Amino acid sequence: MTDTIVALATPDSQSALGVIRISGKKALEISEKACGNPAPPPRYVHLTKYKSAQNETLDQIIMVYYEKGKSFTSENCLELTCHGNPVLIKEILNDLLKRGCRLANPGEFTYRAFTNGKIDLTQAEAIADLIGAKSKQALMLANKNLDGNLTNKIRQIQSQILVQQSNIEAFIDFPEDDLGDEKNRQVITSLCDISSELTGLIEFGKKINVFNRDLKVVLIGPPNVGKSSIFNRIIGMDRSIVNHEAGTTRDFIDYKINLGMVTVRLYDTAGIRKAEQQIEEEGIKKTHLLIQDADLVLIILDRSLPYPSGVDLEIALDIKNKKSILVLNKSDLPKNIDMSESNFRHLRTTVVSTNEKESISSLTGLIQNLLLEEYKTENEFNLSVNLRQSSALLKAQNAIQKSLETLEVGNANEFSVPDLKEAISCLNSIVDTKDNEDMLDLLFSSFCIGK
Amino acid sequence: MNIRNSKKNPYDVVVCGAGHAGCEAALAAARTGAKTLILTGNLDTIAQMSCNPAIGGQAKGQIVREIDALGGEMALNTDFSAIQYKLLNTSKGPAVQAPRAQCDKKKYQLRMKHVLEQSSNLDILQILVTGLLVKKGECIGVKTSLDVNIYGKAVIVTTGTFLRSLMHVGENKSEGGRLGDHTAKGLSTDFQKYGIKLGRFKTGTPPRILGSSIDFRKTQKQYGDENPVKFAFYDTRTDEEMFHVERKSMFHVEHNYEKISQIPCELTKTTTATANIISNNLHKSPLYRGNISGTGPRYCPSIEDKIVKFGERDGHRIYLEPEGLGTDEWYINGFSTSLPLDIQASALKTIPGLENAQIIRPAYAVEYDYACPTQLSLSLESKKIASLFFAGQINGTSGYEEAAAQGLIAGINASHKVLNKPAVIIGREIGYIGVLIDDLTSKGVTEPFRMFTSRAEFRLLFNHGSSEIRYLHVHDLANLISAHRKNKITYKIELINKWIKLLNNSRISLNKTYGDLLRSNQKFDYPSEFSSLSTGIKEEVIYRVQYEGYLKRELQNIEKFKHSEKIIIPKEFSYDGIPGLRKESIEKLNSIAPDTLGHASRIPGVNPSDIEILMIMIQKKSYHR
Repeated sequence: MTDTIVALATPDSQSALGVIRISGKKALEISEKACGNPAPPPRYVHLTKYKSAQNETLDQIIMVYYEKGKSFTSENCLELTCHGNPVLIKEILNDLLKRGCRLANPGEFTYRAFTNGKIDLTQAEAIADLIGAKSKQALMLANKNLDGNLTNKIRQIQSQILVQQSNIEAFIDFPEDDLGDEKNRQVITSLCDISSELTGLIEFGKKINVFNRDLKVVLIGPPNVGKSSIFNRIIGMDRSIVNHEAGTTRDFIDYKINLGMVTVRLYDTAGIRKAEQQIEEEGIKKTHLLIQDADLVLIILDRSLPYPSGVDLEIALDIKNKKSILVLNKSDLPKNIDMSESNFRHLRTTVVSTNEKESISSLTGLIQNLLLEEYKTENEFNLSVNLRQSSALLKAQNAIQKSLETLEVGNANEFSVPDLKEAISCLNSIVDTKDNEDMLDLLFSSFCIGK
Repeated sequence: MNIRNSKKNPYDVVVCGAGHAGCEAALAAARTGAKTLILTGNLDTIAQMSCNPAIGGQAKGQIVREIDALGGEMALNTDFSAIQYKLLNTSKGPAVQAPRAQCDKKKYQLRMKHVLEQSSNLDILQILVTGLLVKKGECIGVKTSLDVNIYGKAVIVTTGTFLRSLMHVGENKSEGGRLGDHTAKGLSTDFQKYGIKLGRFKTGTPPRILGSSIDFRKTQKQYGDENPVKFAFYDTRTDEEMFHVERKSMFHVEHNYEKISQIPCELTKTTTATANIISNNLHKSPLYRGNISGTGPRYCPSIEDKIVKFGERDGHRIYLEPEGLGTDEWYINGFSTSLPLDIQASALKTIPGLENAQIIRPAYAVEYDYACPTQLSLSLESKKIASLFFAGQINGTSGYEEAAAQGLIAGINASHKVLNKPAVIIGREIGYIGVLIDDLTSKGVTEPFRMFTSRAEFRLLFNHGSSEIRYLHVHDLANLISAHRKNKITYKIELINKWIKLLNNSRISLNKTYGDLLRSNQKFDYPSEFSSLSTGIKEEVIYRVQYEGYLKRELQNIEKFKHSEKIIIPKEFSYDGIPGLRKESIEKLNSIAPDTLGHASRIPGVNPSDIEILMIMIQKKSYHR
């Protein structure tokens, strides 16, 4: 039925081996004509020679045949493992094109698996996540969804909604049957439960999002307390200019580093004080914006100086509800600071010296721990939720809330049904998809070629 | 005889069967200008209510009002034979409230027969249809039991449960589509010969007893409504349209259509003793002996099924309903059974009030062939044989109302086909009749199909009172109602829209409009000009204003829905070889051959991803309605 697609599944560079995948009608023909095996038993490893259409041997290869219905794409598939020379691989690919295959589009193998019903949408996304995972945690989460855990959860919630809908429908369509009293209270209670279950999934999605994006860590403090020095020590190079004159850093400077399981974007900012120059005032404004957006704020103070008056209230307002660490710098100098009157005195506090390597590494350890703090709990759902799925969950939850409103203000029950159906269909869009061609294009084109 | 039995001078439309579907089909065809003939095996069973003596009820009541809006006969016929009215679901919103009427069965039949007799363009003949006349894939008439062929440019089959019908009472089997009636044998064979797939269903009916044997002291009276909601729309009709039979004949108006004296029904329930008798005799029920192969309706279970599946409970409700004013026959609603007659009698006697019940018409189950309705297009014309239409229970439905609705549409479309007019297709967004035909033709049936409000995704807009408004546009295509009535409906719509605007825009206090107060459930006085409008108009305006938010959303959903309904799948479109389309989907799509992408999306087993692939393929070739 379908044309035959081919792609290199491994990176296009010199390596020990290269894997070429073929999916479609011509797979068996290629096995016969190029690999000399007209009827390969499926799922066995065959050591053979790859011969071009001109009958010259191109390479000694390993070939595996997967039969229709049982392969990844559900079509006849071949996997050729050849030697990892880009020139050789190009020769083989060209030969395959000559034999009637065509180069696969990005994600086309997975797209075929999806349209052939081998995997659903959450599983297709899980494959994209597996390939793109930047941390071990992300890998583990992607694997859960590949198992269908999210799909199962969604199906389960859908059927719970359906039960409540049928409780309502029964009393509409069978008004004279002996059904007992209408179960409005029970319906409301169940819908509330469903709503909070959805909220739970959405919140969980937000939490695990830390593994899929750069986390923002912002260094703030009064001028000249050593923010830039600490910044440079953490990233391990001199990126920020350090000077004794207060107000050296006028704009912010950022740098991306890997800290264990997460990727962090670290920001060095202008010192917060009453600005003396206009350019500096601009910098301070930007700092406030950064703080609003931050995942973690490091407040740096100079431990060797008396507590700076005048600035802390302003910052304290900004960091309300933010994760933050109070960093007292210059621990190698005598202590002069008195925190007893400070708004920051209850913050988690650490003491560092830019001259002591160990104190910096314990600071980075602390940053990591704090960023992952809420994730330390068990993965209560045993699944993963990405942004697309999260937004569909949110829509479903809104619909449930609307139907609850209808029931609670005492409007007739039938008015709550369209929202219940809406919720079911939102959940459906997570697993399967209806009239959303753009989303599918976007989803599958994010794959690398060969998947 | 002036029956046209020559090939050269055929009828325009021949209708086989004069039940609820057949009557509407014949009238619709005749009224839209086709020379029509209706055939029945028995003139005395025209429009017979074979089961319960009531018209309407949940979703069905709405259908009857829609039939009236389309110019059908069922609503008027019900109003003129009603002996009790009840509006169901009054605790819910207007959309799911449904009128129902108990009818005098004989009167219902006689009036409908008389309507047929009086109709111009329409001939009637008592004769059995035994086969089809088909030429080059087109139906050109029917064979009959009296060795005459009858020719028609279009044929409508409305044979109900009469195809290869087999009745069961205990182990006793007899042929017939209804107790005391014949069966139609040849037709099934002919259908199969021409490739029409048949299935087998089962249905049942309870015993009828003598009213004088009921102890009414032990039953609970069920009264009708003091202010009945009628089925027909009277505010848009002239007297001519209301009393079209009564004016012309001895069938004078004995019921003032404004006011009738209503007869109550009675309520009782089964007891432990009933359950015991039934459980102990299950082995005598053909259903449980495996003698019945047809599938029965889940929502209308026999008493055996109720006891087996739901247990004794604290009794199952039994409604006693009078079958008419001129008879003492009573219908035992809730006691459908195929148990032997002696068991029926002894089980009935365990029910309070029925201790001395005297059965005068035994209960029975009936098995019959139906023709799978996915073989029909949305006009109800067969896809296998051109100019052959199917309507009613033969399509696997159950219910007088569902049958009548199909009959009406098949009648219009058979007539239109012959007269070279466009087919009338009622969309799902218009009303229950649209949902009914769309469900039948796209999803097919797995049990006798009954309409429910929950089958209609836009039901909030399908309140029974709005039927005339929703169906007005159909009369641009079909000539079923008078110009006078059309104008009246148009004026009614204008009036309603004017008042919706007025209530939403005029302030009753400083910052509140009438609409605001309605939506926040506050009490207030309407403008006096509004109060003097007719009840129907007032109710419609209030509903639209009070639930504006919900209804607007339904309208938006309809717009979305219409989009995929507009994408036509061309008749010659081939599903084979489309990349990505699954084999089982290709099979289903090939067999049902949907008209639009929307239609395709409702075929069970066709996935959303299949629809997406189809959409791309169709749009590539850019077919648009």
